[in-house]
Amino acid sequence: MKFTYQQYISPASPTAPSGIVYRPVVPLRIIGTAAAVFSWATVDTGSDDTLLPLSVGYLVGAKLDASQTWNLEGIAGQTLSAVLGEVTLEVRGGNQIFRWLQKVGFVDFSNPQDEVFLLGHAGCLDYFRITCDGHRRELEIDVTPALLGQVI
Amino acid sequence: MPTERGNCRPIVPIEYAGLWIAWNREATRIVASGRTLDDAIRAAEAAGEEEPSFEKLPKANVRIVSLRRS
Repeated sequence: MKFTYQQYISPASPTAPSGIVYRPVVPLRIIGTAAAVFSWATVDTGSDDTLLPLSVGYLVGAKLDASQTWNLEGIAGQTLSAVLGEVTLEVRGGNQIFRWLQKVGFVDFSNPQDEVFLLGHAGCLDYFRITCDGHRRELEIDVTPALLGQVI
Repeated sequence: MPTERGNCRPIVPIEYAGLWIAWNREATRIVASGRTLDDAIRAAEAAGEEEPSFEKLPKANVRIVSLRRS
């Protein structure tokens, strides 16, 4: 399945003087024990883990395990803490659906403005072949045998 | 739920930076926004959107960087 990069207007910067940035985002359905929410998530091949805001975990009724936590670090050394939670994730595109039960990291951001939604290696990208075509600004996702879930 | 909706989504204006936004079913239009996901869900309902998709946008002055385990 293919997804065109999404365009966002941001303040101009030396690397994006037009102010337009392009990000590879995909539609993701997060299904918990209480509800499901449909959100767009950034594909991030530099992230070790798939990370969702804890607010989303509470909303859908993710099975959280507060005894399982770990630290996360950005490139500048800022740290965050993640708690383990289980949800079903679903990506749908074209005539295909990929759906899998997954333990992911839920991050409690003190400020909602800081919340991010990253599809990293553990929990997502480990199961797929991801092609980022910068020229076409297009993301292609192909399933691999590593996915222990449903391909519909 | 949309399928490959990204192919038709318009550019996201800067005024939504830092917010949760709600797209219409076809993801062709932003129908609501809110500071939190709960706020955006309620706003989308108020706007009459029955099958929205949501998206959290980074703050305007933020570029996304990866997070690694430490």
